[in-house]
Amino acid sequence: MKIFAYGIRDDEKPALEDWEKKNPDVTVGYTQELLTPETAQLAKGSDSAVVYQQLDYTKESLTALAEVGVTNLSLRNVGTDNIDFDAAKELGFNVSNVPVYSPNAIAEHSMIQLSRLLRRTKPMDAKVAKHDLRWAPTIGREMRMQTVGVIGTGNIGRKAINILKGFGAKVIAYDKFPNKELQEEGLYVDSLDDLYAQADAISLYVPGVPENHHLINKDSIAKMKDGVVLVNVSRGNLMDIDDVIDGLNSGKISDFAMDVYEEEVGLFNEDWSGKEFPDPKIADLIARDNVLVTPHIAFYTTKAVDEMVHQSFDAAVAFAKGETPAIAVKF
Amino acid sequence: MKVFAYGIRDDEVPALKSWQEENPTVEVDYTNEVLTADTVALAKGANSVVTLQLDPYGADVLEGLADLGIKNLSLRNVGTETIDFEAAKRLGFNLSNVPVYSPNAIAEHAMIQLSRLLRRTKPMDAKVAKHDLRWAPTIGREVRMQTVGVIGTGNIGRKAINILKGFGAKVIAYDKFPNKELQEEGLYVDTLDELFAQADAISLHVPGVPENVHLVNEESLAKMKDGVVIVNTSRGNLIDTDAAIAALDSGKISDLALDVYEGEVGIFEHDWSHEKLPDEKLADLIARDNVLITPHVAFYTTKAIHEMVYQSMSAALAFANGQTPDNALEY
Repeated sequence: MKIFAYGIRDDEKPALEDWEKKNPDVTVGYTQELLTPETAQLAKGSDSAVVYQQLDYTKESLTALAEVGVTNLSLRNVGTDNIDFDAAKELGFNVSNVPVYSPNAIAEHSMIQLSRLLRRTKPMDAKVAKHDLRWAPTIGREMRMQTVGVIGTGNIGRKAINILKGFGAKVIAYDKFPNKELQEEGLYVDSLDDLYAQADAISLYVPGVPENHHLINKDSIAKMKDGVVLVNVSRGNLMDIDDVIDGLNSGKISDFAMDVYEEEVGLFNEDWSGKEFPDPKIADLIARDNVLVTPHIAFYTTKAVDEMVHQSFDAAVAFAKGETPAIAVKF
Repeated sequence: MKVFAYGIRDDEVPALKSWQEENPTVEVDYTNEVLTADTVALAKGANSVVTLQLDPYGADVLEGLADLGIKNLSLRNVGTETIDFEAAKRLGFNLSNVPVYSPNAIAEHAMIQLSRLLRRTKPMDAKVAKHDLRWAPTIGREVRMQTVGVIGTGNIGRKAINILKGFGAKVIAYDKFPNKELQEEGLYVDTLDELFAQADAISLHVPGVPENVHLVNEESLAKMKDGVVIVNTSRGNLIDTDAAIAALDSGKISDLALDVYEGEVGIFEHDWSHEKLPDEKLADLIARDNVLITPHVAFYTTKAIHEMVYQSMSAALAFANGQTPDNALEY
């Protein structure tokens, strides 16, 4: 049995070596290069391909892969929007993704960023960096003194709630589909409006589906407490960024952390240093003392990468054996 | 009934006003200036004074107050080393301090810094600031994947443990005087050596008493895991700075966060941005990507300030009423 992996980064190698040790019967080949019609050749002789890229899995790439005998494609990430599913169906592909790398990774990032905003670490660190070692007036706010509104109580939201409980914060939650245990704890409020009225800080854990589009906008912001702290590590389209910027300018929003952005494709994951930055709104947000911008890295931990590698490779082996892994994508 | 407060900073004014509102029969006056022989006169007409300063409470100052008929002195902080206790006794002073502002403030700071080190926020933020928006290779480590050794399980250490539990980290603890509940949970290891051997990360929550001086030194570092992450928000003398620097250079210590520093007196609380920072070791540490330095700010939250103001003002009122507050110093 042979598996060939594309787009393997250095940070994935420890996990890859670990998987190889645990699966000595499987031959593993890999490249740093992404899957294209040209690089499909590299998978010749393999049973399955394992991939991770933002580049499209085009009809041409899939055809080239099928031509060297590979019709098992296991993605290491969750997003499948860049697969030409019509072509995949036509060519008889098996496809899998990894829906859950590590809810903790994302929950931790959101809560670390929230605690940093409350603590004013950005201006404090900036002072220290230039050797201003005075503590006043850069005073912080404690997590445990806040009422934190958690919107969305799925895997990730529930981990975030655990972290908040550890800090001793007051937690209020909202979810269209409440979780039984959290319901019994009495954590839910009945409506988003209730949450907006009570929360000192709000963190979002809902998918970017149409009904959640611009959940955070001028109207919802107006319902929030003055000086609210907002955190979004979920999907960029949950927020109308112009309204958020207005909120920051007026002081309605005291602090803001974003790991996602509606227009992030083509912007994030690029090195713009020394070049003209194409999005002035984001450049402006990056420069603000009370805003933390990170480029979609909430997932990016050693544990998550380990899961991405292990789960995708296991799925690749299952496909090669003619089995259907739990994480196979139906299409 | 009148209380006069010295050294009131802007960030203390909200708490002071709030206390005033809750105690409408008490006249409250205050100044930004600290209590010295020159400013004693400002307290004329008061029953008690409340203070927070580095300047010493020498015999001359205490005599000046006594001459005005004021023998009630309430400190807003915990440190009483600068009081001339002989003079105070001779003059019949009532003294109080605030031993506990907010253990949460300090525990939160320690755990926020720990999670930031694990997450590599310093290099990631630096990348974003210069518009390099690529996530690789700045990979993070999850708090929940770590075994965290908590040395000292008093008020602050126990709060830190709660935060770690919220993250789902594995907690091991050591304290000369174990806490019964934590003992029942099985969190303690028997010796520091055991803790050093098992901990991926270590946070110190013990006082800077003689037996703890240089608890972290070349010898103890050698017993720790390779790549250990260390956080110290307790007392500067717990860590031998030279040994820590050597360990950072060798990679034995992967990341370090200090809120206290053995040579901090005269260095912290000063703005060196227009002159040369006289401590080169500190300047070097500040500049490192894997080191977070904060200038003794762990306490500095709105809640802590609130407690410092409230508890000291209430003690001042108690003294004025001939009562003995809980925070009264026995000397």
